[in-house]
Amino acid sequence: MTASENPFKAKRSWTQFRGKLGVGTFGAATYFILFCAVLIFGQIAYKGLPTFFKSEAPYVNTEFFTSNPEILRVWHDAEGNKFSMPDKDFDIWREKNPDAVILDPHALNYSAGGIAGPLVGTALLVFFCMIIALSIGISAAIYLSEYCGKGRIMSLIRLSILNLAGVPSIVFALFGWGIFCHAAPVIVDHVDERSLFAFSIGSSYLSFQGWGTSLLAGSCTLAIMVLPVIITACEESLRAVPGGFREASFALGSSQWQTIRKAVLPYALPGILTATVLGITRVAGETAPIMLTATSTDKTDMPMQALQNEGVWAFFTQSVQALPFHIYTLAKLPDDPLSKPMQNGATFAFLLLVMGFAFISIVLRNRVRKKLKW
Amino acid sequence: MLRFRLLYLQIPAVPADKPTNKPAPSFKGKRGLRLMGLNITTDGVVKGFFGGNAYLAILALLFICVFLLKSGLGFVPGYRVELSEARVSGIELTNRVRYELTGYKALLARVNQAFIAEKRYLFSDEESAIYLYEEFEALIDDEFEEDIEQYVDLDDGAEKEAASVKLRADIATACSTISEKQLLLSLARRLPDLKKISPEARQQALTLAQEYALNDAETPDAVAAISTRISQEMGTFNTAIQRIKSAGKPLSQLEATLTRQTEETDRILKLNRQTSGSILALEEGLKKAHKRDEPSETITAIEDRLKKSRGSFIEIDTEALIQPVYQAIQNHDLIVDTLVSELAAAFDTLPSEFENKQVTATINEARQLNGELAVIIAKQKENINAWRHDKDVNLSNALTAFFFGSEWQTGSPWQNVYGLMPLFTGSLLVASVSLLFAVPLAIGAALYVNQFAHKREAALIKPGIEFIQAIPSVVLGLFGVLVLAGLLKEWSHSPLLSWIPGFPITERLNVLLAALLLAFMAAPTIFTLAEDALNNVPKAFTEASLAMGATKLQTAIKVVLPASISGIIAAIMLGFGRVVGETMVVLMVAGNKAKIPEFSEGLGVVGQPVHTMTSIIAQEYGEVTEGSLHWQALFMVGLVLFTISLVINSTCQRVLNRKTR
Repeated sequence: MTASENPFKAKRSWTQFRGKLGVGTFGAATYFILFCAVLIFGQIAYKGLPTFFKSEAPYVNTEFFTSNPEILRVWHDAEGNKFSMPDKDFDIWREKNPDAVILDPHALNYSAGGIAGPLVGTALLVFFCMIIALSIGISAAIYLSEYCGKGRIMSLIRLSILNLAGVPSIVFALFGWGIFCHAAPVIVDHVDERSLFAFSIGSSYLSFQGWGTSLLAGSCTLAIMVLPVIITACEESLRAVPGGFREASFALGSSQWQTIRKAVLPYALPGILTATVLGITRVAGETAPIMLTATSTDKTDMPMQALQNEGVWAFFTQSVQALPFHIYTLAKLPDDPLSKPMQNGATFAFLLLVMGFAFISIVLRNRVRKKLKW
Repeated sequence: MLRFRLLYLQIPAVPADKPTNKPAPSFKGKRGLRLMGLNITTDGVVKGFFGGNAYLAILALLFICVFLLKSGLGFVPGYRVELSEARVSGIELTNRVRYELTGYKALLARVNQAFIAEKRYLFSDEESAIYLYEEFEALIDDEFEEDIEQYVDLDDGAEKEAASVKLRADIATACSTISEKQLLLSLARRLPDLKKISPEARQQALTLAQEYALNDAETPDAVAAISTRISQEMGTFNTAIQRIKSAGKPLSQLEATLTRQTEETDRILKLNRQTSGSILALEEGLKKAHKRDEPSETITAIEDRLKKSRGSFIEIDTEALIQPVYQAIQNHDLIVDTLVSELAAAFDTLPSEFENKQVTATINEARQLNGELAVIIAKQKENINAWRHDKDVNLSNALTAFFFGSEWQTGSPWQNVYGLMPLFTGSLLVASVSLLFAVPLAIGAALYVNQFAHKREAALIKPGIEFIQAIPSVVLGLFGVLVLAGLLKEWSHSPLLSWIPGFPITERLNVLLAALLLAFMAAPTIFTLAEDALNNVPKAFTEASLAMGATKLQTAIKVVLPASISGIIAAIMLGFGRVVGETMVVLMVAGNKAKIPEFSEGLGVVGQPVHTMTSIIAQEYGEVTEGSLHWQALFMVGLVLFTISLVINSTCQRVLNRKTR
């Protein structure tokens, strides 16, 4: 054996090469998934970002975020040049130039204006949905983790809640549509023919005829859909609080409610916050439930105006525009390059919104895990 | 020392003789407000509030199951009634004849396609010229639409003659100065593939257009002359196609007669059903009105409506009405036998090979359809001869008709058929193909992240892939519609990839597109759960394997993967459940055609459009009226979805929970 030969040098063998190849394949699979995600994200961002910006001051396309979707009018002039203008501007222009030659005029729906209405509608839906879902969900989670024991019935119920988290959203949509839109109680003076059941109180009737396509129906449907997620996540965060906290509190003579209030909840709050953001992410991105129960496409006013003009009940029973549904409507438009800015811009705005919430939830979850190491 | 200590520990003495009225301290708990035998303390109220919320949540979730069941199961009796009406009126029989006719029409369409292609191949310039010319005439009609309408509205007489002359003069002036560029510009909007037409054809079309102008806006003779010449030159092909067309006429007439007879019967049956329903409701209302002592005007109003309803009930004798149907169907055997022999003869006259390969392929497809048609006709002959209008339809028939029905047709003026098979196969096909793409990627990624990646790398990759789960499905659907659909269609037409079965793809929105997007959505779910399953394999396994000298790859594939196989299968099943339940992506991208895809094309079936259970609900919810059979059918589909996802989820949860213990 010469001095330069290293007896412990690893031998290059066929097995080793195969090993590297195998690991490489798996790595390739992983990075391929991430690559597809980056590609899709990048593509949507690349096409949608121009819609956010203008070439003149103030450089951000505020019109896009503050006006409702409008019709875009397109026409040719005598030389074959193409012109396009939002509907309202077109009427003004028409009045100013009555002699202008307009050939082959046609209208593209939703291709002008902005996404203000859908944004506000989505915000309202998510807000009311989370109010309902959190109040029921957190209370239920507190009950399940603090008050009731580990009996068989309770574990069965927990299992069923977990299973219901996996039911398709369209099933919840159907349910909400059938119950809240067509069979929910409302006080009316004149009972609709399709009412399920009605009895009179005083001069009006309490009729189970549903709220129709409304903000309330949409919020309730979304709340029911997100309830299993919230209950499970909140229960998990309550369980993560060590039992010693509760025991110490009991040992000092406090009642159960005092214990929960002072020794458990404050430490479970970060986890509950994470659960909220998780819920918001899930709810903001859902289309099917609100498609069936809350949205309509031809709305010109903002939802707040109904509150000023007609009152609280009218506010809750109005149908709203919603961003996911708006994107679905945009997808059904005929293929025309003039519609593309609006399509891509709305998609990117929505993607940013939902992924923003998702990012916050991931960051919160990591912070909670890091901080709370009892 | 101890004595000093004891001095400090002076326990005050309790005088023994003082009576104490205080009761012994009770450990039963605080004493609150006593009300109706209940001890209401703050704690109790709070517990009740929380418990109430928990039970509310549980009740809400139970309510979903009950509501779906109630809404859906009302469907089966209703469908039974509709099916029995369809049988009694004879619509079921007519459907069988229609099925044969559809097969014949598909065949005729293919032969026509071949004929046109052959014509275009042999006489492409003349054909294109006539095609352009016809578009040009349509353009003129559109441009002068108002004037033509005004002209048509005029009464016959001198005024009309004058208007006719003026109209033609106007059109002639407009066309006489038309240049080729203007002609093409105007036609460009109507004909997207104008550039494919040869310059000679365009020149010929231009000549015809100018002749039209010179001819006082009448179709020039040259056009008819060209058409006749082409037909003559096509010779045998022309005769064959004429023969095929005339062979199908008796069958069309039979179908028309049957439709006419059975449609009316069915309409009256349905009307009667509605009327008897409203009669019952009005009688109920009358009884309630009497009980509530409503004013006499209301009662009279109800009685009037009741009388009208009773009057509008039409008595029909279904036995008598079905006799003409039986009569008409007696010729059926003769008609279809003649059809089969005529078709065979016509196909025999056609040459087995044409110059143009595409035409040969199409004619061969037509021959295949002919063979299939013969089989269909043989089977339908049996069914038709055995058909009786008074055979009972029971609930289990209706149930089977729903679950195994091969057609889903709604909003049809003829008959609404609710069959689950097209939707179920659509869902299954899309889910299977997407899992085909997602599972290797996701399991590979899980193995890599769990076994081979460094800790820091894994800490970056895991949240990255989980981040994908939050992407809303509408966004992916829009991406698919705008970007991926075009890309996929382009790639499928490229000659490099023509070896893949099913390429080139003709439909823009199809199963493959949906499967790709769904694979992207399902991969993170499968990845997360598979990675958890791999994590739960005891470390001792890995260590023992490495100690025996296996490499990391060998350990991963031969020790860790088999040990966690049940968790991985659960992960795959949950991914499958997620994909089956996905609505928006399939709604936007899978083509929306409620028909069982043609598995005869082999793997090419992925190029076809389908409808899934989820997307049919999302698409048709706007068209239904509350409480109608269609509404209940949608709830039945929702029920099936609910059951499938519940079964998948509960099995997987059980498997996954077992492993973590």
